[in-house]
Amino acid sequence: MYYNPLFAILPLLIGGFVALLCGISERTERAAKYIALAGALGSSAFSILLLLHAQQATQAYQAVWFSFAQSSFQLTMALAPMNQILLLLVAIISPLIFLYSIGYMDRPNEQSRFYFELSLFAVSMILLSMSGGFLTMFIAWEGLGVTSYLLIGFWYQKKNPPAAARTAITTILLGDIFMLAGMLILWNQFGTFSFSAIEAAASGQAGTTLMIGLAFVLIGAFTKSAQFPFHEWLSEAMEGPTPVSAFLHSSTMVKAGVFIVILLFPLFAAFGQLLHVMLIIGLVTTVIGALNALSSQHIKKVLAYSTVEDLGLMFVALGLNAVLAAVIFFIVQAAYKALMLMSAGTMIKANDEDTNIYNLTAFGRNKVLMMAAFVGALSVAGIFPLSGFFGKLAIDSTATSNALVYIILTAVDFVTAMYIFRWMFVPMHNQKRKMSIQVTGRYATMKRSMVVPQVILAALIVLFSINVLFFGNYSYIPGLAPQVSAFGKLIFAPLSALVESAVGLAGISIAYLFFFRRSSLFAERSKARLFLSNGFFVSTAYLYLTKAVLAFARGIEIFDTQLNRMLYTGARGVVNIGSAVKISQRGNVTVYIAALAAGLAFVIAFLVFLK
Amino acid sequence: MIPILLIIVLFPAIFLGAMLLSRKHGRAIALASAVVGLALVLFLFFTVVTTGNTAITETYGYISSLGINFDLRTTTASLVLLLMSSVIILAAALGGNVSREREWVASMLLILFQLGANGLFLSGNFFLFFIFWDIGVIAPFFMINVLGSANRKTASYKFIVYEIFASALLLFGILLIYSYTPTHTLNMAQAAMAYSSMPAGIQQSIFLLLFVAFMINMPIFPLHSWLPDAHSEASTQGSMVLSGILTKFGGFGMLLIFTTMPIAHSYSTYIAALSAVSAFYAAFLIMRQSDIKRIVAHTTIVEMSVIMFAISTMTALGSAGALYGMLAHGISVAMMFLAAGAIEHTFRERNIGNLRGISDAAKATSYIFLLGIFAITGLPLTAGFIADILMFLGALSAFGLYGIVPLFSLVLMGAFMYFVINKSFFANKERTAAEDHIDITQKAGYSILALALFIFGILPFILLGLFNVII
Repeated sequence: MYYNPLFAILPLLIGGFVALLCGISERTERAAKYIALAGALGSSAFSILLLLHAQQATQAYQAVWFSFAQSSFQLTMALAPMNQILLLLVAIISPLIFLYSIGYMDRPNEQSRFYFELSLFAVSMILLSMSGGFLTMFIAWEGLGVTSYLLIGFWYQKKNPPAAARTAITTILLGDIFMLAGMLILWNQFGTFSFSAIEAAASGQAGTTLMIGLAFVLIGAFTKSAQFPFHEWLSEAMEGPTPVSAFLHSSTMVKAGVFIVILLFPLFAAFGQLLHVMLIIGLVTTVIGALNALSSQHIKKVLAYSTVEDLGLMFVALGLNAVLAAVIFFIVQAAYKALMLMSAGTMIKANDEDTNIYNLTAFGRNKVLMMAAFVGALSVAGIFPLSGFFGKLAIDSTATSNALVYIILTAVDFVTAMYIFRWMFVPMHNQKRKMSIQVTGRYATMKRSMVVPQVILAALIVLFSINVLFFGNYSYIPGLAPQVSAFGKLIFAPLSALVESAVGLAGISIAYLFFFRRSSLFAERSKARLFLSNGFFVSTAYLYLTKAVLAFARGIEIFDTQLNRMLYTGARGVVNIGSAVKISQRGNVTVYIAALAAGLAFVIAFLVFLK
Repeated sequence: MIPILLIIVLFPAIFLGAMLLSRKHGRAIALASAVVGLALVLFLFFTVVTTGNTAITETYGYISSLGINFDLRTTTASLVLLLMSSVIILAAALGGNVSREREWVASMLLILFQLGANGLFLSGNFFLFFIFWDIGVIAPFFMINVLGSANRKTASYKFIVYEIFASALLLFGILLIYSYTPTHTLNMAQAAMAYSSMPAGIQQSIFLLLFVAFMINMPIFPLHSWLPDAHSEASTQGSMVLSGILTKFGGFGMLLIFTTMPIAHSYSTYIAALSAVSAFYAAFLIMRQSDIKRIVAHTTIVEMSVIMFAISTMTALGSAGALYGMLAHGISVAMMFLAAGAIEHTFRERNIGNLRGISDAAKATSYIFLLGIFAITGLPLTAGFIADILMFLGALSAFGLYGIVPLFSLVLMGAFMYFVINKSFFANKERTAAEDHIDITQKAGYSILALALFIFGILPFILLGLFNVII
């Protein structure tokens, strides 16, 4: 009975609400973080129990939520291979984030709200990972959107977060409506929300309605997973607290879109056009993400664009019909991106909330933080034998079939190695130049709760490599390998392994030359940077779109005023007729006689004229 | 056997009488009336659920020379809307009048409106329907004309002209029904059986007369322009009952004619197109508003147009969704108007450009307003989501892929609503209130509505079990 999926949700749910209640007084608020952490640990424990059980038997849990006439709407939970993978990732990462938050969110009066919102997010994430049907998925999906909105705008008293939260929720709302439309279209055709039932019913079908439904679902996935042209919200989302960025906007929530496409991949695979869309959008997003990451100066936005690039890579893999490669990269990306953002958080914390990499100084004498960051950066750059290498290799190997795609991906690999080491080297270079006692002191006394999660994540990255190299498992925890093998067997191309390593090393060397030795490139405004840092003018395009919509609204308003005036004039006309007719009812005898005389004259004149 | 329907319809009259005797305790009497109302409706629900019979009828002699009886009946639609209106009236009586201005008049009008609403939803013949309709129009008229804000006179006359025009059309329609039923009856159930044997032209006339009357009330483009003025100028209680309950009179009437009149089939496509246009039209109009109450008022037009769209599908799913949508919308919009009223009271300001960063000064109000936005954009676990699913599944089965189009009006509306909340509520400029004190009764009002929103969203099966036959 401990294998009921609801047990994985309950501890966090209870923890979140208790944390909210803790906010009633300042003394109790101090307990909020520990209660939330306990909830996260409880949920993770139950999730792992569930996973251990599910490896023996994959089963679905179903309950009718409500029914109407002959239609019943079911909440379905399932532990298919992909569900297990995401559940494991969330179970590993969420306690680490809660732990990290204890150190990072050290201001009073905001903690109970923070832990409440973060716990609700984690609940939605666990629910999403166990979803076996659209209804469950959509509840979790909207939960992610709402909690993400609240957390991005968490510090709404500051300058940027309100606007950033608005951008995020608007994009997410658009995606939600598309997703809702898509799932309703699919229900209308198949009469069920369950993924497995839809896949069974749709096998071999390739109708237009099905394709439109899937296209809507895909647009929903694109908005959540920050694909072009919906990617700008993710970089703005970095205005949220760093634990939020590390949890929501790099390792878990943004992958919800990829996750849902993988779950429904048997349906998508029947439509070549949709795969082409994924491939092209994925490539465009990857390139934009990599170039923007290279030019951005905001320490977290570099990583945000890097996440955009990663998500693009997953869609490229899916577009190439290589689910396995996408799945492996999906697993790999979570740990190193969470680690990188936590590392960025420690830098921000040590440097008094400064976020510009040209002002930051890195790591002081804290060798633990530096080692952890190096492991993460090497993994991002795809250097053998760290986890990122295998993730990238999986995608690159499948791309060898298409020369153009392969060239683009290799170029992106090169840029990736360059920008991630720019991210590391520029603050380290600053460290050499201007060593501040205060900052060094803050690094030396960095809170344990912020350092430990980074060490654990770095260790997991190494463990992943060991697992792959010696046991052939794509998992962080030895002995708990989720069923990646269900997606097929991977064949690595040795040549592309060599190419990837060479490109990665070249990128690091160039970064070393440009950013560690001299640290000048992209520091000032140059034409190239201006173009890149404007995000290819996507935001500007949105600005014009908004203006166009508002202009249209202005037109509608003018029309409405005229319509109103017309109705008013019509009513006025009726009143005027009334006042004209009124003369005949006043009882004024002179007028009556005059009217009688005029009428008589008219009749006589008429008769005379007729003659 | 207790004459429960008669009691529900007539008990507000007793409280009105009590009101005349005591001018001091107006607020308490209105609250008592609302509590009694909700208790009676819950009792009625209990009876319906235990017996499984949604169609209770009661008949008393009335004007026997004309063959008009005092017919009362329940249907699923009337039960659901009655429940909704009782909840809203309770919240309005509790938290709707923060400023405590003219309590006696305000409470009197609220009870009068309660009488109208209870009577309308339970009326079993068109004669009573018409009488209670007009009571339901007169009470809000005074809520605007006497209790409203600066432009109340113009707004109230505009409101009454539109509504009286609608009731005139309604009266014509009813007279036609009376003369063309073979037994000269106004009983709704008997009339429903007689429609198909009437001449086609008469059926069309009746349908169009009633449709336009209800369309003005709902309201649907192009006859919507009374609504923003009326809703924004009314008192808080007035806005709550106008938007939450009065617009549902029209929706209830639409359900009535679309489910009983066979002629509706020949118009349904055009009406669907009109309501889709109306939804987008109002969604664009919202973007030009700066007054917080006008913004909320315009969301009513969008939502009611979507509901009209669902009714015009003439499918079981669509009608059920429309009914659920009216329930969800009534509660959520009443909640937003309650919050807007609190903002106006606290900050003496309704323009979103001047309201900056009020969330610290008015925390509960800000989060309730945010919850309202979530609810009207159809967040799962609030009642709006269930309604959206049912409505658009009905629309898809009736109109194919075109049926999904009006869903996207929610994107336009939601995008602007989030703009509002991040400009005025959760913004970086801080604004402190002269008196940032929110009454406990106000919070109780919020809690009742929020609770209802979540109960109907998380446990939809409580109500959907009754939805076998809507009318």
